[in-house]
Amino acid sequence: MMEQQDVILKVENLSKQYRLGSVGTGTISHDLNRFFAKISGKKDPYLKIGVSNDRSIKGASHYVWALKDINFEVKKGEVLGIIGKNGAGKSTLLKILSKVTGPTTGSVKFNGRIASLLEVGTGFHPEMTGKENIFLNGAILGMTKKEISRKLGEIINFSGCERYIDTPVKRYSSGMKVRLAFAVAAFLEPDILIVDEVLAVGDAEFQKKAIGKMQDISSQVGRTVLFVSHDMAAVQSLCTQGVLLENGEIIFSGTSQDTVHFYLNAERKKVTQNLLKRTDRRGSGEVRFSKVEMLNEFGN
Amino acid sequence: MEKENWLFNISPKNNTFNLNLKEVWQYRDLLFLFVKRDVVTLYKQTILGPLWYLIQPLFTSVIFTLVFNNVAGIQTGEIPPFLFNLAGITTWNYFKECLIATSDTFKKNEQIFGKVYFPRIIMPMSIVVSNLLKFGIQLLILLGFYLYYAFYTTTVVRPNQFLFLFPVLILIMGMLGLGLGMIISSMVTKYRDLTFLVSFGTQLLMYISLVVIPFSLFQEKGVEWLVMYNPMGYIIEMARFLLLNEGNISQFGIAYTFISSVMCLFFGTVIFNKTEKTFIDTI
Repeated sequence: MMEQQDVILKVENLSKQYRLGSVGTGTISHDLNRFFAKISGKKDPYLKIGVSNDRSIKGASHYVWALKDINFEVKKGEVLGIIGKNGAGKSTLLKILSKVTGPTTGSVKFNGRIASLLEVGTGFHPEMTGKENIFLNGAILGMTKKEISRKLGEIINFSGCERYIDTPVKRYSSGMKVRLAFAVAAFLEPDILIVDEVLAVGDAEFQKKAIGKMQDISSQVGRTVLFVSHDMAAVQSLCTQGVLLENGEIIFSGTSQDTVHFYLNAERKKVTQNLLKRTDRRGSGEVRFSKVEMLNEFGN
Repeated sequence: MEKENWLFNISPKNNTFNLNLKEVWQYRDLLFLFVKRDVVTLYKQTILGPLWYLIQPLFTSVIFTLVFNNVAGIQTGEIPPFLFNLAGITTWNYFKECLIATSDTFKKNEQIFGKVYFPRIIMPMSIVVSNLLKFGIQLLILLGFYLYYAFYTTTVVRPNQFLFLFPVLILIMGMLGLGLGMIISSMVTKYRDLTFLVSFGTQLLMYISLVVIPFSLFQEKGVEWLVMYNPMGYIIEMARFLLLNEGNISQFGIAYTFISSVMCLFFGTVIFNKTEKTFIDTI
């Protein structure tokens, strides 16, 4: 029972199917086929085809699983890093978690409020001032006016845009917009915060501030953060747990350190080739390169 | 297996009749802020600003009076044609603006809907409310001309004794516009053709909604079937009946309008709710 209390978010057999080509989920004839299958009690005829989602290989089917049988649990106060290549399904997963789109099968169960960090200034109205946008953005994220008024000073302070706060947002630089957007979300106090690659735009000082804030949120207040990034250093320093997605499936989960190592090793294997077997080598052969490695600061 | 207690659950099945009014109530501040945004930003960087609210119906009424009444010779009974047209156009505009703006909900807000969740219905609701403010301002100009005709001319204009029912009529009209708009906006996510239909469809609809031509004239020519099944026709006729005590309304008309508006709103909400879950994949 105790353990059950701790789990704040549970994803069970989650799958999401997309249709390739021009229309999102089907044509009128497919709609009709679906409808007839439904009224005669059969399953959706277009759900049978299960093809792995590898964007580099041309598949036979027009349907593709962006996510396939995803299962994981997140405990309260955990920071979960979600990593993977482009097109691995990270954003689709976050979209389902933040209720932007529905899953095809499976379910997500959670206790508490989920909020996702908007990408640069989405929901900002360019003609309105920074302050007006704080209210609008906060309300879009699910805050009440009272809550926002109470935290307005802190939000403005954290964003560092005090001087421009009564200027229309269209005059802001893109960095300032991110700062303002992040500041609103940081004071949102959701139980589960979803952060998707937002830190990429801010400068070093702000990135540090934002990461610090996220650490505060998880460690001191005990909130849960889901963090998607290609910045492995940030994932390692910020997250406690990690999940690695590839072609819509979870291929590794564990501590964030292990997950990042696994990911980088897997990637390294793919680009490794035996130099001794190459035939386009030149020179006398007295000295031979057998291996060339490129390592980052972590030795990966 | 212990009993699992979850506060929220996301699953592919959507309960069609779960309108989640509680959630909408929680987001009421957002509704207010959207209304504020619409009103504040509409005429930013224009010189005349909110005066545009007044210029549109005024100029339309002038042109309509010249064309339909002076040139084509349509009779408007005891009522000065200009006032007759102004009342019709003001009322019609509220419906038209609600319908056109709400029917664009999903397409126009794709960006923001794709990033964050809030009850989508807040968006069309805010449109209906902010248009109500605009409608209120336009009613003022109608009132101005009303008083002018009442006190400075020899014509007798007076409202009907049931004028206090006017807000109810507006409510019904808002429901109709919102309902129809939501149905169309849900279908637009898949079939874009409808956007073209809406813009010129409303234009055509105006002519059979008794905005410029009174019901009596349709009857006289024996073509009342053209307007009999159009709830907007009854609404405009009723609006003029209440404001100017002119025109004829029937119990059938009242019942028909009320029922069709409620049905529209109901189906609109259901379809809208069904669409909001996955529209982001289709749009």
